[in-house]
Amino acid sequence: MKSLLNAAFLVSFAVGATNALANHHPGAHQPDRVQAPAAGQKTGKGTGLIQQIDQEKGAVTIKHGSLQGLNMPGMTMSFLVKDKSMLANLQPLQKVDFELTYDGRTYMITKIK
Amino acid sequence: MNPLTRRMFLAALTGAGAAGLGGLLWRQSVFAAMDAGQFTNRLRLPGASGLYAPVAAKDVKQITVSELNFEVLPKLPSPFWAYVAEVGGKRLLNPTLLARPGDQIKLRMVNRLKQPTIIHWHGLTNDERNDGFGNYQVDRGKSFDYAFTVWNRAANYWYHPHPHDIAGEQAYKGLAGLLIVKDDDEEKLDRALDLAAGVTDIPLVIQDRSFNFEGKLEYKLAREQMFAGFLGEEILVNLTARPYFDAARRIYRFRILNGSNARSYRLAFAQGARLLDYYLIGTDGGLLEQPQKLREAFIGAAQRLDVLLDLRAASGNEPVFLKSLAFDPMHNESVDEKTGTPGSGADPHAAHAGGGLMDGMEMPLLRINIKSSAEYKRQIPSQLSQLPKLAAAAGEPRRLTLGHDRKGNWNINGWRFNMHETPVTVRRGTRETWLLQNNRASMPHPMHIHGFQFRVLERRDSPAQVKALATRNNGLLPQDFGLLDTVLVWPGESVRIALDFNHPFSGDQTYMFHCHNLEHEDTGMMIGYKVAD
Repeated sequence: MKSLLNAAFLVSFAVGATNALANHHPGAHQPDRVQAPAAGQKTGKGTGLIQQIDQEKGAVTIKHGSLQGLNMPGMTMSFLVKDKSMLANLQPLQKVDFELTYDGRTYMITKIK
Repeated sequence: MNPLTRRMFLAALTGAGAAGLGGLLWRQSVFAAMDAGQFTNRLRLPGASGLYAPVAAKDVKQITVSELNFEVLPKLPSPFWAYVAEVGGKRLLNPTLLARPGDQIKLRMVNRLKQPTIIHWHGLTNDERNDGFGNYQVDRGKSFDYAFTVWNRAANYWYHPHPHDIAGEQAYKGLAGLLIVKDDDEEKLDRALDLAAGVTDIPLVIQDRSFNFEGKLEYKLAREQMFAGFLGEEILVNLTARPYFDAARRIYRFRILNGSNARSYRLAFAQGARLLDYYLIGTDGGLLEQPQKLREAFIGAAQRLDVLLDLRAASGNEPVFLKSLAFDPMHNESVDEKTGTPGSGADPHAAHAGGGLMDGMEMPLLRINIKSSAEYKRQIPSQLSQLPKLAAAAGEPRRLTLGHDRKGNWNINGWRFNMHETPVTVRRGTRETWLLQNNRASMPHPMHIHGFQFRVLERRDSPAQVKALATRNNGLLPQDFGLLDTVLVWPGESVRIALDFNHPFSGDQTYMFHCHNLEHEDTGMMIGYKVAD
């Protein structure tokens, strides 16, 4: 059980670190980077509870259930959004359905409501 | 102050299954930033009906312990358990019961849960049957009749479940309400400060809870996690997550109850980096004689702090936050008992899932927005009430040592709860001094006694963060000057308390003495004691 927890931690930490790096990469969340799924890009969807909204970084932290299409178990993660305007009507602790892409490096939410 | 000890880190790390270190890090950043925009839910206040609605206790004839759905988070119904009363055609959830000393309370509890339960009237002096604890629990579908007189002075008491082994789960799922007893001193204070219940005299019930990804309350603990107690991922005030409250520039009274299962808080009011003075006016057992000016105070599970905050001292319109300052939660379970140095064995706390919101972490609890308002000129009275004289017993104290067996079981003098045993017997009408000694290899324990209130005589060997708040009087904290039913005892600390076992009942009466970390209570850190002639 503990190894499973630690594995989840490592995944979560690695993903968080990846996204943190992406946040600092110039143009990391320009909409044109995600308009068409690139070769090898995966798409997924999930449901979750918003924990925090970072308007400045264009990111939202979600406690989510398992993500369909990405083979990812439920956990709490920070995701970039395709466009910061997607965050405008979101509230902390709101339940949301969302879709996202993963290009091997960055998870990016493309739809959220 | 070490902001991130190894134990805290391990606790967070092993809690990663729930939230991940990513979750932990974002929480640290959001709470450090005190982002006012994250506090978007209006604080729930006692209203005419519904949650916490005030009602005269003597008008309540039945409380039905119910399973229902309730929107703890906005628009997200969650399974929720509540004490439901129907009074005057209104349906009240966890009603705020109001009484005066001498009131007669007669009501029937009906258990509609799928498991046994019983209500405990926390802080009240009752005979054992009306005190309410596991020996009197009733099964699903059954009822239990209470009939008692309010013998105690005015104070903020409360009521909650006390069945054997499952009190933590039941309290967590929603079962808790306030019982506010008022008297002439209280009304004098109301007039002096122009206080109005629910407007400027406000109960604040602080509880930590976790929600699953669909916004439903979640209580899942492995047996080893019971060792430290439940720590939730969100702090709720009056069952409101990330709450705000619009306030005028005047004095407010906040009746604060730590209704958390296990978590302690170091309470302060902050405007930016500046801590505001506030005034402690009462504790578990009612008003102090004089207000005590503070900037911070610890509150353990089940304790009450009654405070006045003068928002005229706030500058500008920047919001004020009720927050818990960072502190060392002292999960010292594995230290060497003789030397206090870290042990080399496995760290029991490392198995505890903190869910990302670490014990002792700095966190805002409530945002208070300051609105323009009419001029207010009232001043806090210098004299509030008169406390019963403190009459300590002569002779050696009764020693009660708090520790664990290194197999994951907390105990008192090595005793674990057995409903058929009362290892302590006291003589009715006598006074005793109890010496509560918490081992070094331990964690903080909020120790609660049923049936009687007590006064704290002395604290010794308090940890530095507690000593820093102590007065020059025997190491006492400001809240130790009040009547108490629960005292937080820190690792390595010894607390002497004075008890007077005088009460208006006859025959053998059995009561509980236990840790109010509810997971500790449920796993046996509790003893029965008998009052006999």
